[in-house]
Amino acid sequence: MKFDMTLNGKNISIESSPLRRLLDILREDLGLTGTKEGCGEGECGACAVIMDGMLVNSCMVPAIQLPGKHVLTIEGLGSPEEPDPLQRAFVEEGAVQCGFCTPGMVMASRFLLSQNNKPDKEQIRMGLAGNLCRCTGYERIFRAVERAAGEGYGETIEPSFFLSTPGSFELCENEKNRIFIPHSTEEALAILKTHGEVITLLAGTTDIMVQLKNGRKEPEALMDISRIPELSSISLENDSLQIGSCSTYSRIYSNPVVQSHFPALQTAARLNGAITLQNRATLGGNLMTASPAADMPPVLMALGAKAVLRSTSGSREISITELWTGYRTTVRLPEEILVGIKVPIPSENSRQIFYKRGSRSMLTIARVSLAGYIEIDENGSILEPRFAVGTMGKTAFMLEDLQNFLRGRDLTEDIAIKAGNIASGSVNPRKTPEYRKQVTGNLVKKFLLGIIEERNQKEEQ
Amino acid sequence: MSDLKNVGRSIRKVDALSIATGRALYTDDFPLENPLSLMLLHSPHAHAEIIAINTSEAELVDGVVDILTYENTPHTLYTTAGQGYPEPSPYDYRMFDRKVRFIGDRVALVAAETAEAARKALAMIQVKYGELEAIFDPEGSMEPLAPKLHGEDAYAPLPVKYDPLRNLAAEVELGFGDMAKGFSEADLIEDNIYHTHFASHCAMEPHATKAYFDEKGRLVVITSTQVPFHVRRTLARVLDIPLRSIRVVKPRIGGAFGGKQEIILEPMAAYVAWKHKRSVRFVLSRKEVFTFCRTRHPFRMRFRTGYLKDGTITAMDVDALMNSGAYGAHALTVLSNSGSKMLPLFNKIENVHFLGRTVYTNTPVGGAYRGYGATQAYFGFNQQIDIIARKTSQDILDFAKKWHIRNGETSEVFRILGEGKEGVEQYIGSCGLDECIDRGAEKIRWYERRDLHFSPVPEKVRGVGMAISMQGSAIPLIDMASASMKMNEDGSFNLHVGATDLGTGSDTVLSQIAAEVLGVSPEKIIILSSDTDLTPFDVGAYASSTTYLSGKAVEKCALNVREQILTTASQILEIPRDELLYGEGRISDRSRSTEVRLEEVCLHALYTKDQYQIQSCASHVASESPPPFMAQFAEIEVDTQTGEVKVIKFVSAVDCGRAINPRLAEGQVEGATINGISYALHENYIFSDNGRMMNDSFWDYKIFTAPDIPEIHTIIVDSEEKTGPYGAKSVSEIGLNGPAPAIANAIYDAIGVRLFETPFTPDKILRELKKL
Ligand SMILES: Cc1cc2nc3c(=O)[nH]c(=O)nc-3n(C[C@H](O)[C@H](O)[C@H](O)COP(=O)(O)OP(=O)(O)OC[C@H]3O[C@@H](n4cnc5c(N)ncnc54)[C@H](O)[C@@H]3O)c2cc1C
Ligand code: FES
Ligand code: FES
Repeated sequence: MKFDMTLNGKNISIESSPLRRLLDILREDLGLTGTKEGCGEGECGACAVIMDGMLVNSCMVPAIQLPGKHVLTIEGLGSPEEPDPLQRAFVEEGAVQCGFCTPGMVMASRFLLSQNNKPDKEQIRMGLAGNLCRCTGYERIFRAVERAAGEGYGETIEPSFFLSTPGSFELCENEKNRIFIPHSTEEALAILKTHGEVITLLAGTTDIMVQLKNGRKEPEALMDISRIPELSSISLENDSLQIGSCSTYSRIYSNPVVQSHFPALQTAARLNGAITLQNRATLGGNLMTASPAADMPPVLMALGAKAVLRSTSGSREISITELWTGYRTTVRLPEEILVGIKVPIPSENSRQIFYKRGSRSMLTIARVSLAGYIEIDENGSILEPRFAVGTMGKTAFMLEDLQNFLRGRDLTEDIAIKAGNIASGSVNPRKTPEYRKQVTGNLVKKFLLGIIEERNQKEEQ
Repeated sequence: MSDLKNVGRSIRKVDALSIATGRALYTDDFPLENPLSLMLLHSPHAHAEIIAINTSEAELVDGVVDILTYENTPHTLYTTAGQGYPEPSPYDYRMFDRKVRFIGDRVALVAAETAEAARKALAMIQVKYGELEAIFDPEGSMEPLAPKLHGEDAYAPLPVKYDPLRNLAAEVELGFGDMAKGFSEADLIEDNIYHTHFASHCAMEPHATKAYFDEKGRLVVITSTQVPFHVRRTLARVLDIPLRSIRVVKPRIGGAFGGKQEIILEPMAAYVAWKHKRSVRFVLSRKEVFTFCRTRHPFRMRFRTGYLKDGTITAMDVDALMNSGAYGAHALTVLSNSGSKMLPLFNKIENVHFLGRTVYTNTPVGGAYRGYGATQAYFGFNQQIDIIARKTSQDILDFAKKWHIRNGETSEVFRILGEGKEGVEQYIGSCGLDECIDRGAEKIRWYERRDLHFSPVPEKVRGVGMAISMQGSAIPLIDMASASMKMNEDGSFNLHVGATDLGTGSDTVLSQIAAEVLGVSPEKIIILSSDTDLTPFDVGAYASSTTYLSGKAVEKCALNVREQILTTASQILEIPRDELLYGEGRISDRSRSTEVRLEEVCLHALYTKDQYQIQSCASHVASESPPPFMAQFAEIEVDTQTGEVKVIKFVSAVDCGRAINPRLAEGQVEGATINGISYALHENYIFSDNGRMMNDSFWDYKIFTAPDIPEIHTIIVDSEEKTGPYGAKSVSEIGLNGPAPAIANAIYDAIGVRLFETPFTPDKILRELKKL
């Protein structure tokens, strides 16, 4: 395909196959080798660039999503003769050793400072969570960011309001009827009606691009659904929050309603990979990938969400628990799109939690993930207990025994401990079973004991 | 020496600006015209014979130019270890082989016009394997009935113990004193077995090699290597082409840590280029780096320590078993180092015995990795002394101070154990370890934390632990470095060194040394490193040698140049040489009334009379390997509910002689420390039953990220090493030695659980807690 985009402030025309990575376009086609490849799987951040004002890993971005985009690379910041103040800060603070991570680190730092011009240490760490560095031990990189922030670097970044420009493009002969970039749900559904069987949908592409790298056959036909405004909207309607399937994690956790009513969802979105990933990965992609290790399924199960699927023949709403049929399979029909989910606004008296225990704070695919939700009535007895776990079966699943045990009981320490034991007994993972059983139980206990403690503290006051 | 102008200052790294602006070129950034893409086919079996390999269909793929297998490539045996000549590692490796010895081993290589074509062809190569029984457990590797990995043809180029028919890749034994007496005198014996695991270097730049032909038809190899000169020598031998037709260039390197000392890609890349007279591009995927490149050798180390009730150590017996994996890269030297870098530290023990064996197994191949055996050895050593100190009711800090080697002292081990031959006697000329211990202890607030089981919230408990260690600085009487230099009319100097900057900052440090000698600012030094055509020889960046060894070569070279400058100045000023003062950028008489600037000196030398180029070269071989010393302290918190261990604070106090560039030295320590913590807590190779590494991506192989970083402090303790350039010793490796044992000791301090095996994952902690 042929299209135009803006690179480092200049308009350029690109000719590329639709799944070619932005990283290769930069390095090989345009000779901009500042952007590096450390893994090609979205895990290291060496390839990070800023696209439409957002930090993304260029190894995760296929050409099909580039028409009309604004991309900024390390070369667009400064030159050795005239370095950008941020680049200078890296040099002055000794934040550069081998430097292979540096371009990505600089871009990540810039994005961080564009969002938050006076980040504290913790925010800096989180902002750089998706960028690996093996040489420096990070400390000096933190200092470089602090220095640039102190010099007011963040304030100098012009706020960039990138309207989602349609971006014109031209397809080659053999791409016609294979490559689709619709701009409305209706358009998308009409295409799916005729080509649904062969089309693969692309949202944030963080799953697909990894799969392609690891040998998945190139799909026969592609449809980019990331430019459909309806699918990216988040809105409050009739006591439930509707989240469009193409909402990215960063949009989800920045949403005020999510922040006020859905702390579990917010946590899950924040724990999903690092910034580079959160700026791309979508809720719909996470659900439709149907990986047992995915974070969103247990959370949405515990929150009692519904999935909305639509085709030209209409919409259907199903309980989220019915979305998956097995390992990486869903009930979606080829002509359908997951348009989004609906989550009921939880009652005042409810508590919710999402825990994920992996071996590292960030970029971790859960080894134990647990979401919990309970409501407690005025007499202190438990209504609506919902607990779901990920990573421990072919799909995420609910802990029925635990729910049955808790329903209607008064929440006491004794019950909390018993609940923990029941939870341990209701999971049976294949790998490291002992550990994961124990941790599942401990987490359930922790959640319930926390609620009791909160109650006690209130009573004391 | 307080009047130093350049040395001891944290000047900017000379290459930092070009890196931070994305302009610096790493191997894969060099544009080549139509390079062939090279891609490897890897073995799916841990141990198998290739019965037949059919490439005919794959060759038909559009764009495929060649497919290499054992059938059409040279059979020369060599080692990938990238060491000096003759190598102390066995010759047990060929470019391709009939036999595959671990999952991920090379089977065939496709060279194609495009990466897509290469990938497509790879899938079409048909290989018929005859599976052989595999051995994964190093303990059983030397059993008579265990499957053998290598045949009779494999051999060791040096006269060292090597017996492939027993899977024995190396053996080292040393002892002094009387062990029987030592143990019979002991009141108590502490007998423990420690295990350290596999780890990947995880340099952010994957291994990469490019090659092309220059206009004179010479082969130019641009490669991410630590050892350009060893690469050239090895290529000439393996490919059987004249050494003079090869030029090896090391561009910017995206981290190495030992992993790029290995000569893995270069022979294949150069072979294809040479055969087809085409340029080639060979870049590994991250997965290949994990599974096909090198790892940290896993060790099983048994320590038997006899001691009196008052803590006097009467005997130390160490039995080390090192897993070399499928090939013997560094099999002997990492093993030797595990003894020679550890045993001298407690030089007052009179009865010592060390037996080390390296064995082959059908697992990924071990290699050089920052710390190089010392890291593995100190894991057991430091826990052993923590245990003994506790059992004899002593503070481990006092205990360590009582036993460690001091200024003016020596150890038998230095003399006995070298690299593939006897060692070199040496007396310690600088040791700041006491100060390291004291200042580190203060920073971690040792006495306010130790033995307190402080618990900030009910399920979390804190503890502190310490570990000490030493390393070396270059391999004495073996490693050689050289430098050459010439002066330019503007008073600048070209400095050419064989030394290899891997991102470590050696280009900067060497420039500082030259600038210091020549009384100029570092910008006046134009450094060029590691190009076999342009720079003089250097063994390369390993064994913590660059600052100490190459730095000395640069110092010598610059001193020669300085001498020539003075001689010329004496002619210009008509003042006797001895009466001249060498100042900053100028030479003057003693009263500073007449002077000549460096520019004028050079102009005079080049253009005026009896013209000559002010220039010099110098080489340096060290007669000893002065150890840097370090004390490292961890404060950790264990979550007794989830088993997670969190490092709260980590302090590293190092004596590295004079730090030529303190900020770079600190950066080395910080990087090594974080690598060490990450190794202690997360990093590991997880294998399936048939020997496949299951976690071959950053997704599953967790290295520390920014949010994981604890509060870290680095303390540089000044000392002065007379044999080093401006008093310097090495600093880059040692920081990896302490984290695992310091954390293990801290975990014990917190919850009374001893971990004899790395990494300290939550499941292990919970398992051990249950046992209490
Ligand atoms: C480095 C890294 C770290 C990660 N960490 C985590 C993590 O911590 N937790 C976690 O859960 N996941 C993680 N992931 C996985 C991944 O990022 C998520 O699953 C993500 O949410 C997928 O969304 P996407 O938009 O990128 O999916 P895409 O790759 O675009 O799509 C995934 C699949 O869903 C289908 N699909 C997408 N949208 C729709 C729709 N609206 N209707 C129907 N089908 C659709 C696509 O056709 C495709 O099959 C990680 C991935 C990477 C690369
Ligand atoms: S190359 Fe590692 S994230 Fe893109
Ligand atoms: S400086 Fe080498 S990876 Fe960061």
